[in-house]
Amino acid sequence: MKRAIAILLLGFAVATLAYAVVYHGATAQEREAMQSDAPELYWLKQEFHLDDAQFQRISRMHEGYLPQCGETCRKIAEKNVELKDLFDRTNAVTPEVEQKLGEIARLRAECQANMLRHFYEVSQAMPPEEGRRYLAWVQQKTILSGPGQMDMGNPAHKMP
Amino acid sequence: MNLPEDQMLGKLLKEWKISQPVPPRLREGVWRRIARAEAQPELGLAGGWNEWLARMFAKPALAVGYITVLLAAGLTAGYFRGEDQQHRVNDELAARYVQSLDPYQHFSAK
Repeated sequence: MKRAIAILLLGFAVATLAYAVVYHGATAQEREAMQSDAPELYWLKQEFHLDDAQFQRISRMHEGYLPQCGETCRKIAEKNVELKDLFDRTNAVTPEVEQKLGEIARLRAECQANMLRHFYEVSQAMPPEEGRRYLAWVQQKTILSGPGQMDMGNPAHKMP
Repeated sequence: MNLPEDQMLGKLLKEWKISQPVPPRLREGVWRRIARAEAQPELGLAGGWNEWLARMFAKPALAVGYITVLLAAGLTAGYFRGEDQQHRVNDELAARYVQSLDPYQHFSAK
């Protein structure tokens, strides 16, 4: 009986160990990504097969772009607050509201142009095929996203 | 039908003499053990399970088969669970990357 129980437990131990080893191996890259300083950039490196030099260059571009993006963010937030104030004061589309909407639209266009510029720069720093794939994916996820647009999700398993 | 080997064995057995003395009260002991075995209550669910398990794993081929099946189950579960986790983390990091670039998504994420 002791032998039977030992075999029974050995089976469970073997299954647990096999599960842990395979799971640990399969998720090693993701764990490494999550522990890195910039997980999203680490992901970009893995996803678009960048070498170290390309990764360094793209990381610098990313860091350069972020303050610019943050500034646009701040301006959009400011304009949204102003628009909300207008909404609170009126229940009609006044010339002031139209003007504010125009300002927000201009900011959005400026922001999209900046983004697009950054995307082109990044894609050009990648190997050509990966650059094309990156550009198609990132445009779809940002500028081309929205109602009625096709969601291309993660480039790893949604794009051909 | 008696084969020549059977006849030889029968002859040998007839010639066989037990030199060792029979342990005292052997017959009584044997009958007592038989009576005890017969008087044992029927095995319950747990007893039946233990009995079955012991019989099952007494055969090496079945024990090896059992461990192989569990090994395969562990490997498969680990593979699929790992793959699932990979997709989940990759989707999350892809979304984080896009969010870091796109001011609109800063707002929608908040």
